[in-house]
Amino acid sequence: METCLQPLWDVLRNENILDLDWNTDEIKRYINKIELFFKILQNNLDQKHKSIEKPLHIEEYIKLLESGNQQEFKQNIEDVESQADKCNLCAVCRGCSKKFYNDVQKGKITEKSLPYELENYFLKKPQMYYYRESMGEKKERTYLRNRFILLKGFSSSTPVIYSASFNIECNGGGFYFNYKGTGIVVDPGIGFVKSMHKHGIFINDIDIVVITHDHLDHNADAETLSSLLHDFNSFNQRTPHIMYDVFGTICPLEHEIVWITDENTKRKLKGKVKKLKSLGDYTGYDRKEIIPKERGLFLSAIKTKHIKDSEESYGIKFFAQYEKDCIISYTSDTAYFEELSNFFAKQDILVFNVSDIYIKDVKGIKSKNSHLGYNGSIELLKNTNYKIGIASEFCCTNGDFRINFIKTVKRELEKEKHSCILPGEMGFNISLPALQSECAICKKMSDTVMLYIISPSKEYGRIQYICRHCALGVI
Amino acid sequence: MKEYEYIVLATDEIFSHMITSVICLENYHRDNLNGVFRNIFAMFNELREDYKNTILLMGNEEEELQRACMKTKCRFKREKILDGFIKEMENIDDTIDYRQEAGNFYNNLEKEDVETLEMQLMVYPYLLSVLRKKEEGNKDGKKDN
Repeated sequence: METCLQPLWDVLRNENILDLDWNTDEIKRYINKIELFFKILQNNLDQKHKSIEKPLHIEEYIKLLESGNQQEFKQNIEDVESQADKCNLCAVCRGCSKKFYNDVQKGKITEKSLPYELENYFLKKPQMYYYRESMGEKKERTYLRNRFILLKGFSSSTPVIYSASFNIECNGGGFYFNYKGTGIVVDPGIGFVKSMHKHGIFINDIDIVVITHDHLDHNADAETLSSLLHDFNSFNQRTPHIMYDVFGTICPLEHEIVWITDENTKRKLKGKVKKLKSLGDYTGYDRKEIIPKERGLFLSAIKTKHIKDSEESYGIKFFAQYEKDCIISYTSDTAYFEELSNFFAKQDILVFNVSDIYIKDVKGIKSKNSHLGYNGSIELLKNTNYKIGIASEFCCTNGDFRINFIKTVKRELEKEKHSCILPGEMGFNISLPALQSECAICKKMSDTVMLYIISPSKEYGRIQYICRHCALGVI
Repeated sequence: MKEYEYIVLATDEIFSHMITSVICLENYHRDNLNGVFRNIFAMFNELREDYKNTILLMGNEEEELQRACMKTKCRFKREKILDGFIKEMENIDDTIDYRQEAGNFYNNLEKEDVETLEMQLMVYPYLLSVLRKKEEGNKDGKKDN
């Protein structure tokens, strides 16, 4: 902590006393500065008390300077330094005057004075302080509990191209859901962190991250998340750190995230994150507990057909125990194959990535090799049971086909059972386990399966979801 | 120097210390200390008077030196607050070397990369905790006996 005389030393540091010309007025100017300093101090803040007197070592210092003899100054400066302990301007001496005279003796001032232009910078609070303040202020955060929030609309696999034509809402990657306060992120792709903040999700709302394969629209923001977590934990521990040493209190626990990823992503994140697990360990139809302390949350995975050679990609299924199980499935990127339907036989929410559609694919002539596309999506939806099917990751190369895709798929399926298929949009959210969503018009919660869709007003625009009442004009 | 710069500086250097030391003592005594907060308002008025006097004396000259003097005045006041706080502690228990303890605290503070105002203000609850630890130690000693 800076002391009473520190401001004086900061002013005097601008001139190294041993470099001044002792035969000229430079020394006089130097002395006048000190005298003027103490003259102003005669108007003490507390008028009842005496003015702030010049300490003895300062008087001795001035006498040495007035002698006009540089040799004598060098010989006797040590005596001045030895008197510095008797300053008594501070309640607890930190030896600032001793340090100053020590520097003077060496003939160099090691410390620079703080430029006035930068003073204000150090008065401001750090960014992470405001991040934490925002965490407290965001009312939306209270609604994260037991929510599923989609944070992806379009494919972000070629962001350089898409960002030119799409609005910023199309960035994303993956989704977030919260099971009784435990936050799970799936496939944090390009722009995920930006999107999550926009929807009131902060780093300490995330406890588990699952990454299905090593493509940047699924894992590009993994390192960003890891870096944010590190900064968050460092900041939280920085200020009270001295309190642990001084008070001996227990250091608060760091916020931890468990990472469950494919092997390629695991290799990339090794050394950067602390708790890293293989998604491959969850393959199979049997559900496995994700982390022991989060009871009631299970995961299983299936290897999918997406990446060539030896690299892995997975589809996943979460089992969240409420009164009944709530099952959230995610195909991620994959071509259709029979076992996919077996694995995703039954769930409450099925998120499937469409990618792009080609003529031969739509006509049923040739299915896509590494994505569901049109035909693959139909086959999957035909052979599985779900309450809500959400089409996601549209790669609308030739235009915005989202609404027309859903219309044609629904027509082909002709499903009579109570299920719905919706195009996914950034921010689309569902409460768990009730499976209700907020109407975009009346803001009331209603059954997701009964939602109507408002087509975007422009190509690649925002899709909205409304309740039956608003759709029929009755509120 | 502008008037508001005086107040901003004084808020960090004086008012925050005044308020913290008072709250710590009131917390220990579990009672309001009469007239203490009035001093804080009085201090505010004195600051404004001081600013006027400095401007009369110096005008807009030697702004760097004016700023340095203002900081020293504020810190002198701050050290008086700490001195007063230590004296209050000594009135409660004079067997503890509070100045040594404060010195240790400041040494630890210097080792930190970043020193915030909150950390500086911790000296008051820290000194109080030294006293409380000793009091609790005495109570335990009696129980053992």
